[in-house]
Amino acid sequence: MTALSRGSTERPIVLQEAATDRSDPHRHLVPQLDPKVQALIGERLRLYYAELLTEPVPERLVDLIDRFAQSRKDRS
Amino acid sequence: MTIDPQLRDEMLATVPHLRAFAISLSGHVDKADDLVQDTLVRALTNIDQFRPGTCLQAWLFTILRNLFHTDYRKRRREVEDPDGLMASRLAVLPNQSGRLEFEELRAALAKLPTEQREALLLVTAEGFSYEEAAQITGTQLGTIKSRINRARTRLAELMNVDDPEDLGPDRLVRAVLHSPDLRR
Repeated sequence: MTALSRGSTERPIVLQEAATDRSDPHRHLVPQLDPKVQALIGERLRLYYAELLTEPVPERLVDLIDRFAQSRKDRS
Repeated sequence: MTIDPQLRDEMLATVPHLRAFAISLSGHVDKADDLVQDTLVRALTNIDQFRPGTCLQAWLFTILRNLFHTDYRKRRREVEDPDGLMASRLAVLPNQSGRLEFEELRAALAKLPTEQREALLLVTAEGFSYEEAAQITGTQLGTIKSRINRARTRLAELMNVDDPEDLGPDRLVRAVLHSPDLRR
């Protein structure tokens, strides 16, 4: 499916391509960032985000979804 | 209105991602949970508008992002926040409160313009493609690329990263100890 596990697949190299993409009308507006710095920023951000992802989901959100799933079970 | 078990599981698996995005975007855990709840209600009551086979996660992120901006614009009208003081208030989670290595990033993230923050989070943190991020935010591909580029450059400035060798743990501890303004 989905982007659920995609967090780790994005690589800083992509941004380098983006920054040098000649079809991008905004390319000249931003100074080039050192690829190593880009990579480090990205890595730091993903670590921070990964930590957020491990947070337990509040019960009320699970209940909310299950109320909709439940009503189907009740009917059949 | 009902959802089948597979959709239910898929939706449930997306919730931590919606939360992480909402927390990083809004900077408030409580506000983020309300935002996720509103997103789920909106999605579940309009589930007939979801096209099976398309990316559920992207659909949910689009709803959340639009709700956030509607709410954000409303608040902007109610309270003037010229210095971005409200926007820079930081969300600290219980198990993150002592984590120095996240303190600096969180502070820097909060200082980015909302459009740059959301673009960076969608692509770099969440792993959406540029195309998906453009769809979610209702913008052009080039705009997304430019925003991410600016966001990273600004983060590097705010975190004083100009030399990659400079981002070690030692420097980070020094930065936190000696630069109280980093935590504003």
